[in-house]
This record gives sequence, structure tokens and C-alpha cells, in this order.
Amino acid sequence: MNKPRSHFLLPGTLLVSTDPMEVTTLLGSCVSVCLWDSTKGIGGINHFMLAYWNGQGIASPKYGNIAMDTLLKRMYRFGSHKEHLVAKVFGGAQLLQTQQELLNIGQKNLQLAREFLSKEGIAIIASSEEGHRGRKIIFNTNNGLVKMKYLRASV
Amino acid sequence: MKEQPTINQLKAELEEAKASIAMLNARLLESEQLKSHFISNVMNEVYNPFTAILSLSESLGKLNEVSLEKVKRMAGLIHHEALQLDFQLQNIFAAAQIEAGTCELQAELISLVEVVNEAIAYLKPQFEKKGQDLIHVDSDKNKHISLINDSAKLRLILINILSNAIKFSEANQDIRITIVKTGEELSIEIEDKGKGIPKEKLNLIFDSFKKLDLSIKSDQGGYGLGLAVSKAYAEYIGSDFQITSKDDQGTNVRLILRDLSQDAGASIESRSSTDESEMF
Repeated sequence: MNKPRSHFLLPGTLLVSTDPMEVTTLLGSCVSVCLWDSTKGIGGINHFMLAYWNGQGIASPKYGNIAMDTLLKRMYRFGSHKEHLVAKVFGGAQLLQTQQELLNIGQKNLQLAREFLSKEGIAIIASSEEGHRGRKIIFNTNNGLVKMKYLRASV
Repeated sequence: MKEQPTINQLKAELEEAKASIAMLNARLLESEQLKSHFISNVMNEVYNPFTAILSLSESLGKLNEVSLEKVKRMAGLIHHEALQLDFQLQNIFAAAQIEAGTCELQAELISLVEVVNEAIAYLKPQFEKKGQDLIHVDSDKNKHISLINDSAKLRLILINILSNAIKFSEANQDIRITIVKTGEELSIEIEDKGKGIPKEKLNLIFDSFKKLDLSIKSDQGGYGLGLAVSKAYAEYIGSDFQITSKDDQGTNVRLILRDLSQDAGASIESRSSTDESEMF
């Protein structure tokens, strides 16, 4: 079998594919949600930096509320149904130890992802969250598997 | 036992909630207004050059006399309008891609001087028409400077910043572009002597729906999409903007660049990750 194509996912973008692809992304306080539909073999992943769009600039998937909604809609467009979807959640680390806020950026991102998925009734079947280290993940859209390594350097 | 809140306390809380709803409402209303402004502006920006191209090319076809001079002049006008249209469409398509989250990096070794010169050449009809000059300082000296970056994204960022500098400067106010290399840091500086941006409005300029002067009569054209696109593109290529401006004394924009070879997009494996990987 051919090796799946590789793709580097930029922060603020997303990808849905029915072709076998290996999607790599680097996460610090950002969060990636991988959606996988095993019945149709469709995989999708986003990478958002902040939980909510603040109404300024372009309303892009840099923001969690937009990234989650856009990802799910694109999965539907590829023929997925909600009841066949499972989710894996990664990232949301706290890289800056000095953050004084009640919830840091990473936690806010994670909270948004969890709330969105629970509202849509999509189960989180695996996750690697929080902590103080960045992560590199490789999502295989062919089988829904995610390979993860912790990073030594900060993202 | 926990104390029950008094009626007055509850009343105060209710008032507070009411006030924040009213504020939210006002903001929503403002955003709706800005959006409708935005759409009508975008339509103008596309229709105006397009209408001009249609009528100019039609009259060109109807010319009876053979006058090369006249044909050339009309072809020049058509070209100018087509460039305007091209510029607007580039920004609109870029914004659509950013919104859809489908942007990718095309990182390659590029010559910085070349990218700057391409941006200047693209805008030539615009600044020449206004009687200005875009001065690329030390372009010969900096010819050797190259870095790994996305030239198409960098070029659109530069075109947008330069186009603004042209728009907000007068006829005899030239614009200077300088590539600055201090130690490891590489940046492009764009300096105009135009009307400047009021301090309190500096943070608004990257907002896609906001043009500082929203009135129809405002003669600057554009609808503020260009800078919002530039900001998003700058994030993709790991660049930062530094803007200083003084009323009536001009604006200085500094775009700090990053070599993407040190970055994830170009070579992920070069970043030190731990050896053990886990499967999820």
C-alpha cells in the first residue's frame, strides 16, 4: 500500500479527508480535536488557538467556537453522520507558568472543545491534555489513530 | 447558615445584568451595521473597476480611426482597472480561505529584495497616478538576503501595507521601504509621511469591517479587508507587526520576519521531540 500523503496543519486551519493522510501539527496551549468516522473512513482535525472569536478580524478557525463548528459541518459535507463520530482531544498545555488567570488559555480551549462535543453528543474516546509540555501529534485519516510525542522545546 | 440575599442586592444584580445585555445589544447592532457597510463596500470595489473595464473595452472595439496613441491610452486604463480588480479579488479570496481554514504554507528559499520589488512593481500604476514614488532603500546592497518563507503570502501582506501608505499620503509624499537586518533579526520597514493613524484607533486597523472613516464621502476607497488578511497571513508565516504613527506625521510599519526553516512547517523533525511516542 502507498504511504499516506503527509500534511502539516497550520494553527488556525483544519482538514477533513477521505484519502489516507498523515496530518502533523504542534500544540502548546492550542487544542486539536480529531474526529473519526469508522463507517465511512473519514477523518478530520482542527487546530485552534483561542476559545472564542472576539468579533475582531476575520472569523476564522483560529477560534475554537468557529473551528469546532466548521470541522463538524465539513465532516457532514463529506457524508459523515453524527452518530458515527468519535473524538480525540489533544493539547491545552500551560506553557507559561506565570499565568494568573483562573483558567489559562489552554484550559479555556479544552473546556470549549469538551462542551461543544458533549452538546453534540460526540464521545471523547481518547485524549492527552494539559500539563506543561508541548505536543506533536500525527493523525492518520485512514484509521483514526493518533501518534503523539511530547516536545522538549516550547511551541 | 448562608445568608439570603436582600431584595436590594437582587435588584442591583438584576440592574447589572440588564446593563450588560444592553451593552451586548449595542455591540451586536454595531457589528451588523459594519457588516452591511462591508458588503456594500466590497460590491463597489468589485463593480466599479469591472464596469470601467467593460465600457472601455467596448469603446476600444468601436474605434474607427487608427490612432495608436489612443489605443495605448485606453489599454493603459483597462490595465489599471484590471489591476484594481485583481487586488480586491486577491484579498477577498484570501479572506475566504482564512475563514474556511484551508490555508497552507508554501515555504521555499526566497530573495527578500525580489519580493519587495514585485510588490512595488504591482503597485506602480497606483503610486505613479498619485505622483508619488516608492523608494526601496539599499536594494542593491541587500540583494544577497534570502530566507525560507512563503513568497505569495509575504507579497500580499506588503502590497496591502504599501497600498495603504499610498492611499493615506499626498502627491509629493514619497514612501520608503527598507530591509533591516540587525543581528539575527530580519524585518521590512515601510515609512510614509501621510496623515497617520490616531493613537486611540491603532488597535482597530486590523479589524476587517472597520475603516476608520466610514462615511461614503471618504475618498480613500477600500473596505479594510486588506489589513485583516495581512494580519492573519502574518500569523501563518510567524511574522509580527509593529506600528508607530503620529497624527499628520505619517506611519511606520515594521514587519518582523522569521525564517521558516527553523519552523515546524518546513521541517518538523528538526524540532527536538522526546523519543517515546504514544498511540491514541
